Amino acid sequence: MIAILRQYIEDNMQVIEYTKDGVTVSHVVKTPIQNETAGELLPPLPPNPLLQLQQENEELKSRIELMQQALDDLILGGMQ
Amino acid sequence: MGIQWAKPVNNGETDLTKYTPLNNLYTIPINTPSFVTMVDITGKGYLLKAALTNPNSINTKIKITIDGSVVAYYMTPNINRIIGIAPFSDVKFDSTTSLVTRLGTHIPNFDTSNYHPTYPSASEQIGKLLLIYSPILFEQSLKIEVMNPSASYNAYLEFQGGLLS
Repeated sequence: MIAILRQYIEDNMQVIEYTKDGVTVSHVVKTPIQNETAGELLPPLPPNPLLQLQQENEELKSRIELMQQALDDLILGGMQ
Repeated sequence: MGIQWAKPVNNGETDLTKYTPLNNLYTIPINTPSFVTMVDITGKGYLLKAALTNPNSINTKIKITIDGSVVAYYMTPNINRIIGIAPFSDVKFDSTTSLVTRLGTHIPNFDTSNYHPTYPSASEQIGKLLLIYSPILFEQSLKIEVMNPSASYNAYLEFQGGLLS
């Protein structure tokens, strides 16, 4: 049966010493101290191409409607 | 030397019922351009899994050293892929799609050509995963080193192993 004998931090590593007889070290496990704030630098999410196309389509429709309105006004104004 | 299968239990030294499991998921932060040690064990034990993933791998590397000798050394290509050592039970091959799945999820950019059948293998292999049926035993030491040069994404090391009394 292996038990933990002692734990400590050394050179920014967590060190755990195990023992089988309660006195001598049988195993040593070293792992880095995990920094909980080691954030992930995520790039911004790419825009959804379908939504982007729909948005552009709506914008184009609005522009065409405005142009059509302006053209109608121009034609009607010329006729009067 | 072939795969180091677990030896038959005869004197208790490799009795897997006398083990102390060590399992963890480690984060390897961005901008880690040279090897750092993630697991360093002195003593007798076993390794079941040391798999490295990165959502956008850019030359992410893993090097596994057992009893002083490099036994596995893998580097990702510039795409998302899992590399390292993992148990066969972790993956499932879909013969219809020729894709490999894990926990019901497709492993990106991974098919049977990415299996690495050779152990030990000290030379750097690109985009490989060694699948094992039983734990790999070590008598004196195990060291797992990784690097993650990516400037955008953390990498993650799944580790499963343990100590043997």
